[in-house]
Amino acid sequence: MEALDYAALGSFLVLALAWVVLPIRTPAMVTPAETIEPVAVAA
Amino acid sequence: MKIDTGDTAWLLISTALVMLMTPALGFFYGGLVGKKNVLSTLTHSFFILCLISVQWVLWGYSLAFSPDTGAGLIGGLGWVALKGVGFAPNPDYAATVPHQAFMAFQMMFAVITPALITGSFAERVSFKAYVIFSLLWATLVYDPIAHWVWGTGGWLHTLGALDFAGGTVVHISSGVSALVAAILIGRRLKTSEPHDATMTILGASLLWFGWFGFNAGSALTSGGLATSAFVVTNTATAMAGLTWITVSWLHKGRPSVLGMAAGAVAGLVAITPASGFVDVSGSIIIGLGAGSICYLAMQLRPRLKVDDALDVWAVHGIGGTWGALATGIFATVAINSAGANGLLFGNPEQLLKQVIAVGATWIYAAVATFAIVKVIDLTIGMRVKESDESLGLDRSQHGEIAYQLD
Repeated sequence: MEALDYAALGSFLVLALAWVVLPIRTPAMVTPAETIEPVAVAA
Repeated sequence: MKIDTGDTAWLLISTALVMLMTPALGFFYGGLVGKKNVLSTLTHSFFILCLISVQWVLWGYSLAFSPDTGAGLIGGLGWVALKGVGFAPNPDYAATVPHQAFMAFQMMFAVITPALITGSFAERVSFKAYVIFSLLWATLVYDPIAHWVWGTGGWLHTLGALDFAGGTVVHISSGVSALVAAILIGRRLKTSEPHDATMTILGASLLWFGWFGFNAGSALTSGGLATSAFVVTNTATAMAGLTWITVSWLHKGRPSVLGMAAGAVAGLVAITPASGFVDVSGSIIIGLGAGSICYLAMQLRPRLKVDDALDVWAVHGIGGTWGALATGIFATVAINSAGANGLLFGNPEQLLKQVIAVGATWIYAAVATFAIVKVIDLTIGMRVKESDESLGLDRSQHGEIAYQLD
């Protein structure tokens, strides 16, 4: 393996690590009920 | 010269794949606009498919690819209406396929390039102005730059700048022109939220599919080089999609679905000039750069107060620039003996040539687009009336609407 190969492998592994450690911030204002409300259609 | 049936079949299939990219772009853009401008946005792509298909066979191909007129800037008019462009191969461009097959393949590049620009002025430009702009831009900007880079005798071609499938010709030219057009035309009265993210994801998926023809087809043969271009195209695109969604997750706290689609497109853009010259590790770094650099460029839009409505500059202008420069860094003759080594393989001069190609394309595209938009604006006007913009372009320009929901 050459330096470019190590850089490619390392960058992918850094992304993979981020998927493990990053939390998902759920918007506080959205409730499950709101997400299934029918959307009004303008006439 | 003998026609190779395998090469010809691959090039014709690639031509069809690239053709699909233009309506796919329409869907990509169409999902990102408000629901009263969906048809007009789709039309911006579909109409150009019709318009440039005719322009190209009449004079576009001749200006771009016929023998140079002397200064390396433009081809002649000797191939107008395809006179002299027959079924025998032209060894200057593709020695194993009919000349008309090469012409048709190049036609689809000429078609999609002005269509890319339309994302910057979506939701506010009159149909009439868009038609005139597209025809003038294709003739005065695309055709000369295509000649510089790909035409026999073109000055960037002679210089040795590398552009396998259109980083400068397609993406920098359209991305920079998009920025200039957005500045001159001005902001929309009211910005829109994407009305259908699923349409955008579908469009991005079809773009990815068609891009195999764009890049792997640019090998103009159906052998190992096409295979390499296919593999690095897929790899860079995937890496850019992964990078963008991760950066957006880090920045905004959630992995953005639309961001992943935009990232994939940025990856497709960035690998385009490099696809025939870099190996798979190089393509991963190019994808990483595309996903992060284009994301950062997109964050500039609200700060610059330029209403490039669908971020054409950030994705195509910056993605194309990164890809063209990265070609000068990661290119290796181990992949393509007809290319050159880049900086990383002991040839810093190649990076300098790439910088010259990027700079020339930025400057010419910006100046020429400025002139075209100004002339149209001073004569027939670029924008629709405010009342028409409020009504939406689907109704005001076409008298039709996209959805009958009640």
